[in-house]
Amino acid sequence: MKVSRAWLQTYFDDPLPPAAELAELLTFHAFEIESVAEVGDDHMIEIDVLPNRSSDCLSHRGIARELATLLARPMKCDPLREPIPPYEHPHGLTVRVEDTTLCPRYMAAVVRGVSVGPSPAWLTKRLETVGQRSINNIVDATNYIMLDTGQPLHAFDLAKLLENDAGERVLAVRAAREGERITLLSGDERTLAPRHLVIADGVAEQPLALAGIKGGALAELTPQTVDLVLEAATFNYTSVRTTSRELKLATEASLRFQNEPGATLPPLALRDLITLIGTVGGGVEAGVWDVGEGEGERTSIKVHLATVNSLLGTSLSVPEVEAILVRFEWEFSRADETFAVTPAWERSDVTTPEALIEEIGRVYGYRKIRSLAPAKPLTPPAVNATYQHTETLRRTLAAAGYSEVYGYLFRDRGEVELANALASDKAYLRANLREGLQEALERNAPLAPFLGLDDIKLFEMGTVFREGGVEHLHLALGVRGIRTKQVTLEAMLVRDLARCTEALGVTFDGTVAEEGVTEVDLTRALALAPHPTVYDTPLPWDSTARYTPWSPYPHALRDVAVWVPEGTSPEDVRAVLTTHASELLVRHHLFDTFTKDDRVSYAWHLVFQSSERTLTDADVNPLLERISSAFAERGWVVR
Amino acid sequence: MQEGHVHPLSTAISRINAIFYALGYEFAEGPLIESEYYNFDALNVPRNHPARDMQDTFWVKGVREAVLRTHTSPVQIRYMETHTPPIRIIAPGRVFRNEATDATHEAQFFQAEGLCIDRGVSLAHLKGVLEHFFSAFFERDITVRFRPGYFPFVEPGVEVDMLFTRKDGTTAWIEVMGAGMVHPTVLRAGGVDPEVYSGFAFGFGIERLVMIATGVDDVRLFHTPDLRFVHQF
Repeated sequence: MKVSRAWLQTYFDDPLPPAAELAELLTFHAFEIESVAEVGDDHMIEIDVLPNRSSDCLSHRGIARELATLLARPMKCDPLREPIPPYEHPHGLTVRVEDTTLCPRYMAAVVRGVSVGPSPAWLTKRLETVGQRSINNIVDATNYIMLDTGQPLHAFDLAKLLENDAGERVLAVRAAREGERITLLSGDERTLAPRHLVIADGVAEQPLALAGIKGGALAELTPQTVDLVLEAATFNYTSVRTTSRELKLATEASLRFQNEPGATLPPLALRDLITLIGTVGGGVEAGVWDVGEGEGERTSIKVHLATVNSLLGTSLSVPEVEAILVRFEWEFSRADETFAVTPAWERSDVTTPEALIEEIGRVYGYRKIRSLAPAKPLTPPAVNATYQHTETLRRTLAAAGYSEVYGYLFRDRGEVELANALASDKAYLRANLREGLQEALERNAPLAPFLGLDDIKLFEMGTVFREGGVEHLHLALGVRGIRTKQVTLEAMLVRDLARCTEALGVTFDGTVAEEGVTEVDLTRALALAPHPTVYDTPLPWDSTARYTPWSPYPHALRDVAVWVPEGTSPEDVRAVLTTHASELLVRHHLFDTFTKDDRVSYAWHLVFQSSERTLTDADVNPLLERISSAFAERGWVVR
Repeated sequence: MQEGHVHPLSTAISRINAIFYALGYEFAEGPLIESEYYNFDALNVPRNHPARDMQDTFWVKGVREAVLRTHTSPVQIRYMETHTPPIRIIAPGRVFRNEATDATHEAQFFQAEGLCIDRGVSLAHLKGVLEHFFSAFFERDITVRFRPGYFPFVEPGVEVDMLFTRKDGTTAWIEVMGAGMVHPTVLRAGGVDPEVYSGFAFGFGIERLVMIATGVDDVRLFHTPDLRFVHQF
């Protein structure tokens, strides 16, 4: 909800605090703020109004009411509290509501003698400040009153409704006919069904609007329009929501209706709309239909001071709670330490003691909630055996040289399909880990020299999904030989799997092995494994570890081997290497050492990489020459 | 022989468990394919309520009313159904959101849910537990503050910010989780009498905590099997 500070100011005599202060006040006592922006000589504040407050706060009046409470200053006017003038029924128009469950209240006002044209500058400016486009004075007036009160409104061109033989026009609120078509104001067409509610021309039998969502083209206003029918209604929130979703039509109106604004609201908003159209469009009210009624009286909520304090963790006194309650301007009474509070009708979200305590708490300020240090438990909690076993496996496999990966659960095939997948190649939940692990081996094999690894050894542990949505916990191990022969590695994999069963004290059944990957279903094995009574120390965590992004450009790999006199340490050689190789040398690994005739040979993998471009021989060769000359200066011989 | 590296998410979960275990919290779990009842209805998110739109949901084909859980909160209900208060659980696990992925959004990620139900539990207890947890997890003194928030399964609901001191000594308030006092409707759904017991619940993204701790700048890296990432931890 975008609000204008100047618009909010119309509710108060004294100047409001600057926009940034208003945003801060709302942040800590009411809503999250998306943004604050300067718009001309005004400020726009974008407020994240969530479903709990969408029935009263998707409106400037609602936000002004919040500010009145939080700033402890009265509003100078409140459209929700001011009286409604008496209306006559209009001549020549009747309203027929066929389903009062889907439309609990329908009001239609006839306004005659308007001239449709541009809006006055103040109205255009207000709308533009909150991101709305000006259309014409009448449509702008309906939008303005909606953004002011929260009540969606619509204007039809009265002359476009057919008259019956008796000279009457009829607005019908009814279910759409099967296959009935409507052209919307936007020009889009929709084909309707009886589950959709429409406002129809009851004589011509044509739909004029999708109830609570969007107007149709048939009764659209034109520069020639003189007489209007203004609609202010309440529609069932489920009906608006399901229709809006099904027809993919989310509008300012549908957003508000699906959050159930009160049925007490339409006459208040309609009164303001008639007045505003009189001012900006010159029309005169000529009768109002009101089918249905508003909500009844609200009952009070009782809450005891001790309950308030025990939920919030505060030690508020009776006068302190009273001082907060007074700010809402709600009816309340007190007997001893029990408060009986009747929230205003538009606060349909406050119906329970907890909701009332939340209101008290946020006005008081959550920042003032103290912190109570947690007590140590008298008895230790149960140990989750499955989880402890998975930690044991992680430790065992890491010690055996395997690194852990977490793969994607969405795949292009499997046994459980999603009804609304992100993409066709992500339409299934994985039925095994091995397909993903094979891909992981492929991906990582070329990185082995870069990572200084002899071979790629990976594992993954996680849920797989079988027929009917049954979940199993699986473990998969995979190896890809780079320096070691693949058959040797696969033999080691069998041994490493045996280490796992040893660590758990169980055997695995149903092992599937293929192309260097072995997968086991842990579900049964972990249930049978001896139940641990304590957790091991947590997995080691290097609290100084900082992530460094890697270059998207490929690395260049070179090997260098050098003879040095016995007694020269690898560190001595490393120092020469790093001094002369420039920052393009991103990694280096000593991969071979041997001694012969008082000389030692050290062999290094050197990984060169730039974060800005792909390196060529022209970049790398001079560096190698520099290294070689530095070695030669020390009398070392490059092999 | 070269040692392998355990994935940072595993390490984080291990530490989360250890910190909460010492406070008396049991490690609890639940299925990833959940019923609409546990994922929404029992958590005070009624059918056709706009609050359902707050979490974009994956639906499972061929299984009636089955979804990929959108949060770890269903574990609260499942645990309450089979245990009596006092209850203290920590429930880390995978969750799913049907939304386009980018550096800060993943369709699958890890969350941890905390739940504490006892007599006289308040927002002040919640604050104390969270400050203890963050201080232990990030290995520095951390204070938290609450702002109003809305999650249908708690009332009052709060957004939690922590005052984080970076290595260079600068500080910033960082939004880290949603929390609140368990809604009476949720307690009743779990078979707990709200007249006798109250409780707090909280939920946070585990990737996010690791990102704050280590400077990882893209959530998708956690779910990409690349050793250039895993080997940095």
